[in-house]
Amino acid sequence: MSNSNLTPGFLVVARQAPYGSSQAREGLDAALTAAAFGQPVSLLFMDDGVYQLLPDQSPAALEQKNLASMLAVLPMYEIEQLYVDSHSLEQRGLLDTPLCIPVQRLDSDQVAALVQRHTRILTF
Amino acid sequence: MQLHTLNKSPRNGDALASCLRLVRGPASILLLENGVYGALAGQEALWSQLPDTVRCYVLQEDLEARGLAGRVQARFESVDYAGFVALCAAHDTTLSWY
Repeated sequence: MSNSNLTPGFLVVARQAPYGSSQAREGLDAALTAAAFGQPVSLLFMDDGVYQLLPDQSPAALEQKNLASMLAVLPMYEIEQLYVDSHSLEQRGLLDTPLCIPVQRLDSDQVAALVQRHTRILTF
Repeated sequence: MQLHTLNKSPRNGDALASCLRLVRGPASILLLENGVYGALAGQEALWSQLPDTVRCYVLQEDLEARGLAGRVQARFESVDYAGFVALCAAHDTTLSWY
């Protein structure tokens, strides 16, 4: 096993759309919890997870917490390594849509490299 | 080296497509639960783009449960639960696609 290129801490991979299941919220909670315990955390949005990044979310009528508001406080928890898979955006026609938080756009090779750099990966 | 696990059947969602897009050899893929349907003979095309450096495994107990034993593509090596544990131990990390 080669350790030279590994990033410490967790990579949380968000693959599900918000509000239809609790997965999006649970992934965010896991990221915040790890960070609260002093772990470095990177967050990758891909597949339907990119829908979490759409602005103007207002889930009040569903009696659910606003996920976009939670995303906005990530930097307060020192979670600043935020990535989105461009291919997933493109598949969903969202390449030109402004996103609710600043995220780094990665192509497929860059996402693969990000995944390969981590040994602690949680998918939601 | 990473172990990727897939637990959904090939046409259920985009877990398979995303896994295939992001896996880089050397690595291993393990099909389990409903993912084992991807190992059925006749479905070789699903995996044709995968380099030889990615080894493919399928969980025996889930094959048997579904009546698929003996109908598996040559590319897939069958492992039981103990073999599943050994695979996890032999890889740096496990990435679950579901």
